[in-house]
Amino acid sequence: MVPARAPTLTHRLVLAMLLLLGALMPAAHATSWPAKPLNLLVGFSPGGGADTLARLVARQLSMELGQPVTVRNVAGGGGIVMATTLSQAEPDGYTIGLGANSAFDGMPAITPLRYQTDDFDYLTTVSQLQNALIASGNAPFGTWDEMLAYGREHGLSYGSPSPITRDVLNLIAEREGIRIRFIPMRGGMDVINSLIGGHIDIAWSAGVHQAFLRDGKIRVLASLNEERLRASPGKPAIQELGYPMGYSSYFVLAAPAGLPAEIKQRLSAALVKASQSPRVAQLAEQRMGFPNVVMTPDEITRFVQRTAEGYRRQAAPDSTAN
Amino acid sequence: MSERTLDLWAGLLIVLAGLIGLLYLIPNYIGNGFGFGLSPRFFPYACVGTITALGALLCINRLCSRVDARRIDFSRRHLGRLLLLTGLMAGSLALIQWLGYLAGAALLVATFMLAMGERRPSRILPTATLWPLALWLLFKFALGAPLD
Amino acid sequence: MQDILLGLADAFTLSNLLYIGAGVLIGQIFAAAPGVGALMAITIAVPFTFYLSPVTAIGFLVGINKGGTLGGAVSAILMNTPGSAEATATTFDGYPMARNGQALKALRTAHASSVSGDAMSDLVLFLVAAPLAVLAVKMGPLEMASVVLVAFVVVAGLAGHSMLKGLIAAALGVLLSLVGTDPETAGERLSFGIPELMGGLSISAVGIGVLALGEIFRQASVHGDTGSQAEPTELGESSANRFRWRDFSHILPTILRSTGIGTVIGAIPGLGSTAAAFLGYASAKRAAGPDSNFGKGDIRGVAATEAANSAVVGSNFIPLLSLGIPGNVAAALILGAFVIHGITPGPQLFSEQGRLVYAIFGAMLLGTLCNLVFGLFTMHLFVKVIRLPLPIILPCVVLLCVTGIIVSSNLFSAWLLIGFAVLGFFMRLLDFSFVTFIIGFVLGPAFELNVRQSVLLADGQIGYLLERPIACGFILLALFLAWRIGLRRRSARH
Repeated sequence: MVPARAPTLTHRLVLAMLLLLGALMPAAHATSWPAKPLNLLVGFSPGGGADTLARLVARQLSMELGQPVTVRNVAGGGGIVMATTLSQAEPDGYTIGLGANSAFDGMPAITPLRYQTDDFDYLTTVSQLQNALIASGNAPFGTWDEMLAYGREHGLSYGSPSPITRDVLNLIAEREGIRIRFIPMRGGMDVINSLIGGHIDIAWSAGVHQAFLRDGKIRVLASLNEERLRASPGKPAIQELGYPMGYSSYFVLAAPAGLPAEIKQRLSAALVKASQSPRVAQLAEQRMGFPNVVMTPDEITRFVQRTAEGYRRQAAPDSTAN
Repeated sequence: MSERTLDLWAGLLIVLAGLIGLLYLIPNYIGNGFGFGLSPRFFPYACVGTITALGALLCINRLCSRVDARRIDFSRRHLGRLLLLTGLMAGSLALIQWLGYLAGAALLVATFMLAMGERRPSRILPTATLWPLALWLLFKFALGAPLD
Repeated sequence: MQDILLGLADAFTLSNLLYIGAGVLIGQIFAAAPGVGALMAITIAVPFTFYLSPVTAIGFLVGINKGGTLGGAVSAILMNTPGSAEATATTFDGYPMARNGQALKALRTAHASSVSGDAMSDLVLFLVAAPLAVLAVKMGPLEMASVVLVAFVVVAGLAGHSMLKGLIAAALGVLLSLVGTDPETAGERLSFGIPELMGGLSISAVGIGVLALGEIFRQASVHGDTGSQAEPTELGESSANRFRWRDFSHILPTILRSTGIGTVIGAIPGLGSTAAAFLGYASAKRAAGPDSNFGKGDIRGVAATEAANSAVVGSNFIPLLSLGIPGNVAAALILGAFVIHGITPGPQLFSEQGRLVYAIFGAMLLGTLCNLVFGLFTMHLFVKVIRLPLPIILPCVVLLCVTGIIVSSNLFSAWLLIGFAVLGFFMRLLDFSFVTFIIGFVLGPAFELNVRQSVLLADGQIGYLLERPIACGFILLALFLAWRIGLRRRSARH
């Protein structure tokens, strides 16, 4: 409520208030990065193993950088929502994201999205996922061949929380003459529960199945990674069975493309250190059963680009218009 | 206004919105599925279809019934106040968006107090400054979930 | 046997008691504040529990959960604005009781019912956890879809005067729950390319907007700018305001029925406390007969809701501990805490870590005890807070709601809040049941996913349905209940 004949005193007061407000809004300069708290967008819902891992990494990172790192859960679409949000953030080093690499390299080739693989700078990885084709311990088949035999007679229902593995299953269906029905699932534990309850025949798991191997509730049929799984060394990898693909995947830490070089270097160095810290490694390896693979920015960028290329090649010949 | 009149208008609006949904929103903003089972459009169509059909039923029902069941206390004045409150909230959110939490929050509390009839600055000023400040401090320091 | 004793001894330590007590208090306060909620408290607290021992950490978080189910009733009773969706039905009788000068009695009823329901479902958890888990596993997509159908039908019975409008509201609720990303194709659904929408509409924005802010807007605009306490609530300890043993025995059958409902629903992952609360209320209303005072201040209405939504807490742990599947969001967050502390919930947990499991049970018992004791004081405190005049309280509550949304979701959801508040305002005004709307929104995703899964699995064969008697039974039950509701409405009209 400024009176009509506004004296300069009021003007000065208003100016001072505006300046004060302005001072409360921190400005970011590249040389003084990090000058304010960072945001870590996590592509998983709160409470899961991946979210926990992310929070530990955030904690370590904040100790490294001396600034708090706030975790924000942006779940949905297996990481798509997080990646979309990340792609629209400012590349100033204050927003990073954590998700499975499939959200960055595979999903853009499978479904129309608002970002591309090249819209991000890839910084490092935290642990390698253990992708497996799994079945219930009570299923009438226990090995790959038995599953194929069963499938030829009865068809198979395949549960997966993401459409990313449709390609290899379609290929299997074609080659082996099996009818496979794709059943969408709400998450890793939903898959496990459906298998144990006998509602679906086989499914894809990124590693949550490992806790159920010991007492035989779940059986691994094959590894969907490029090599065999650490917890199931006796089970063949998908490539050994004659299929030209592997779904080796990692939890990737990325930032929107266009990071200034100095910030990128310092950020990735700090992230690598955080990912390699004992607490994070312990959670990943011992409690979740994920090998704690931590890559350099160049390594992970090459990996993502190679994988994206593979998905694009797969999608191209039989691209079905939606 | 009588409930019957309001229902009639509501029904018409619902049918209109439903048709927009069916003919424009769903085909353009929901993709097709992979071809198996129920497509992603199925349930949205079912919901909007139900809403539209029931809305039409509501209109017809209210047109046919002559009995004015109840009166609802809703006049132009009430609509005006609703718009006022909505506008105040929008303005405060805009302030939060562009100037930060404290500014917008203070505006929100102060203007709502004025709108509810409180006129004494001795009540408005402390509440509008202390409450937002308390929340801001709580979330920033005690809870580690900073507001901006 | 030794495991049990050792486990309980692990739990009953002074430091545990302090942490659990703190958790209960935090849960009550956070849940009593509309827009904030116990869920936010749990989310924020999980990282803080990194350095605590597993039993202490879990006890603390469960304490928040328990306190939360009681706290939600406070704002529901005192201001007609439920702190969370599960307390919505508490407003039906709680707020009229407050308007009739029985605010404290209503609060104490909520307290007693909440603690009773909680304690009894904890007992069920301790005694029958493992066998009940088998039940949860047997629920396949078709069974789940049919259970949700039954829930829809039952809650439809709570729609206001017009079933037609209630159904429109329900369909709208389901529609809004579908906004986001398609579970099968990961394609966008009505999210218009806005990343904040791609994750779906948050239950806080919709719930707080339609239920809490809608009511606040109604109070503020319809009663307006007189500057006085437009809707007075009697706060003194008049004789009508006392909660006596006589009252407790009067509501005991209601509590037992609601606890049963809540326990069963909690044991089935995917339904949650909101559904339990409405179902508890609906069945209590039915049992009370057509001449009851339900909706005008019947003490059993408050008891039914609070017992049911609290009973979910204990039995939620059944699928959580035995299968690692959380029954609702709070349990999902606590699952995260389990993982941090190296506890892998699942079938092997009971056999391998029996002592730890019983320690957790002990901590839960402590939590219920704290809830009981603290509630005796906090209920009185909350009533005092509400003494402030409306023109001060309402704006502060509005800010609290907005702040809560910004923290738990994002600023975009706060903008959406305005739209939902207007929607809630008109829904209350025009009797488009917000009850059916909220249930549609809460259960919509589960319903859709399970129906789609069932269609894919059935593969066009009717045999799939016929082979599953449980599902058939629920579908028939739904049809039967729908018919009954139709009959009752018709007879009420003539």
